[in-house]
Amino acid sequence: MTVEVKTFATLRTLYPSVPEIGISKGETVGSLVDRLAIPREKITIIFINNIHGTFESPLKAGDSIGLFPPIGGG
Amino acid sequence: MDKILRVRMSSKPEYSVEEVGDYAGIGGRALTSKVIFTEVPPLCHPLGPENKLVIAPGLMSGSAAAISGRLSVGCKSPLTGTIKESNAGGQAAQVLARIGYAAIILEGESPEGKLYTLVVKKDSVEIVPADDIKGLNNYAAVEKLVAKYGDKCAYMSIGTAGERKMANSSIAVTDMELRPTRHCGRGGVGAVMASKGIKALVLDDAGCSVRKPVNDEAFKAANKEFIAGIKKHAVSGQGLPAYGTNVLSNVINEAGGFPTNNFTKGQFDKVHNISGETQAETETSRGGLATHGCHRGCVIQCSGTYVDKEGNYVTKQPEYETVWAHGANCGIDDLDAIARMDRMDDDFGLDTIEMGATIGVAMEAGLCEFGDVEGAIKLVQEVGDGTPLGRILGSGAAVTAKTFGIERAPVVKGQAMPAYDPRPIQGIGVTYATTPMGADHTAGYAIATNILKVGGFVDPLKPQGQIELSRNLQIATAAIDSTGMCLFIAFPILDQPETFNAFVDLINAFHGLSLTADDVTALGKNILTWEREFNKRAGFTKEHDRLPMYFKRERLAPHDAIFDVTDEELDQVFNW
Repeated sequence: MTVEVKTFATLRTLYPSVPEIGISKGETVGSLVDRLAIPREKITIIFINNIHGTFESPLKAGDSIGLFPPIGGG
Repeated sequence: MDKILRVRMSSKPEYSVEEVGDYAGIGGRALTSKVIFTEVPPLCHPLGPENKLVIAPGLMSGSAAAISGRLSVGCKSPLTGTIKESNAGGQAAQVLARIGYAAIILEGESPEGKLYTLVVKKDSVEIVPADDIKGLNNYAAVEKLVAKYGDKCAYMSIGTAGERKMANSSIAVTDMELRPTRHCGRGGVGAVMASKGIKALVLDDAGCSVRKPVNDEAFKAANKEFIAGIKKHAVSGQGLPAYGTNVLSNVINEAGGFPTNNFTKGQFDKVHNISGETQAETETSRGGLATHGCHRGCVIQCSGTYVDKEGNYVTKQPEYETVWAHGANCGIDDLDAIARMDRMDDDFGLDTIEMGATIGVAMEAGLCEFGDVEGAIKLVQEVGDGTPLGRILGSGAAVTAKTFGIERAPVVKGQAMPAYDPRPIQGIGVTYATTPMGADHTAGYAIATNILKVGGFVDPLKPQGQIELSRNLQIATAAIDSTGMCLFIAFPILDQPETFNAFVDLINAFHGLSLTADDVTALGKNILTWEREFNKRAGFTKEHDRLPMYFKRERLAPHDAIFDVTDEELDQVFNW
C-alpha cells in the first residue's frame, strides 16, 4: 500500500518529493509528514488527490499528496 | 500632490494646472474612477473626444512608505465598454507624485495621425511632437526618449498596438532599469492614450524631494512596523521573493484550476517545465535574477530578470499570469518561448493575459495547434505587424472567438479571464462575473482564501461562502488600489492584524488623518458604487454580471466541476 508525496516551493529544496512510499492502516497526512521528518509548521496547504486536506485527513493506497509552504502571487 | 494637470488635445494642444479641488484626499483608483464617473459621459465611444484618460499615483506614492509605487490609469475601456482602472508598478507613480500631481487628465482628441510626447517637470509642461518615436515599439521608443531626456526620468509609452488603437493595447511604464516592462495592461488603455494623441510621457522629478508626512515620527514608526509585517509573513517575506508570482503554477494546477488548452482542462501535464521553481532555477543558472523589485521602495521584490542561454537579457521575469496565458492555456511548456512572447507583448504594448487567452481561442479555431510554439509566436507577430489577422487578434479573445465562430470565449464583459478556472475555484468566478472591470482576478483575489489559506479558508469547490468572500475582497481591494500600495500587501494584512493596523496608521500619519478600518471599508464601497453607477448608465445590467454559459454546462477535469453559484446569489455581491 503506497502513496505519492509531492513537495513544492521552499519545501522542495529541503524535502524532495517521494514518488512512492508505503503507508500502514490508519495513516494520516500528519503521521506521514512526521515520518518524513517534515516539520508540520512548514506546511500550510495540503492536497490529497487535488482536494484540500488537513493533517488529520486519512490516507489510502494510491493517494497523491501535495504539500506547500505558505505561498502567494497573482 | 495638490494639483491636477489637465491636457486638452486638439489641433492646438493646451494644458492647465488646477487645484485638486473636489478630488482632494483621494488617490489611485479612487481618483481615476471618481473623475471618470464625474466627468465622462457613460455612453461615449471609448476612443471619442468625450472619453478621458486619467493617470493617478496612489495616495501614498512618492513618500517613503514602503511598496507605494503603484499607478492607476482610468478611462472608459474600449475592450469592455465599462469603466476601467488599470494598474501598474514601475517608477512613474513615485515620480509623478513627487512632481506634485494627484493626476494627469488627458482630454479631447488629436487629429488623426498626430502624436505628441508630454514632458512633465517640476516647473514646466511641454507638449512636443512625437515624430521621433512615432511608429516605434516600446523598447525602441524608450531608448530614444532616454537618450534625449536622460536616465533620471520615468517614462510611459504606447507601442504600435496602441498607435493602431487595438482594444488589447497597454501603456508601458519603465522600471528601475528604464525598461518598458511594467504595464497598465488590462482594458485597452493604450488605445485611449493614442486617441488623445499622446505617444509617451516623460516624468522628470529633478529638483523635487520625497513627499513629507504630516506626522513624521508616527509615520516612521508605522512604516517600520508595516515593513516588519511584510517581511515576517511567509508569502510576502519568502515565497514571493524566492519564486515570484509564478510560484502559483504548481498550486493552482494541483487544485485542478489551472486553465489548459483554452479552459478545456484544469491541469497541465507539463506544468513542471513552466513552474516558478523551474523558472527561478533557469534564471539563476543563466546569470539572471530571480529576486528583483519593479520599483524603488519595494520590500517584497517578486520580480526578476529573464536571460537567454547565453546570459543576454530577454525580458523581466514573466509573471504567473503571463506564464499561464502563453504557456498552459496554449499547451506550451517552453519557458524560453514564453519569455520571448512576454518581450513581444511588452514591446508591441499588449496585455499578456488578453493576448494569451486570444491565442488559446485562435488555437481552438484551428489557426495553429495547441502546443505549437512557432505558431503562437507568429500570431503575436501578426499583431505587432498590424496585419488584418493581427488586428482581429489585437482586439482580444471575445472578438477573435466571434470572428472564428467559437463559443468557448473565456471572457466577462469582453475581457479575458486570467489564470484560474472559475469552476473548481468558485470564489474567483464570483469576482470575474461581478467586478465592474470585466474578468479580473486582482479585483477580488478569492484565490487567497479559496486556495492559499490566507485570510481563512473557503472551500473552492462549493458555492457556499463565495459571495461574501468576493464582496469583502472587492471592497478591500478598491481601497488598497487607491493608496498606491502593491496589492501583495493583502497577504500580510489579511493574516496579521498588527500589520493591517500599521497600514492604516501609515496613511493617517502621512496625511494627518484619523481613519479607522471602517473608513477604509467605506472608501472601498464608494469606489465600487461610482464604478457600478457608471456602468449602469453605460447600459450594463445585472445580466452582464454573469460567466459565459458554458462554464455552467461543460464540466472541467479533474473535479468534473461546473460553476454553480446561482445568478440570484451573484446579484447579492453588492448588496451590503
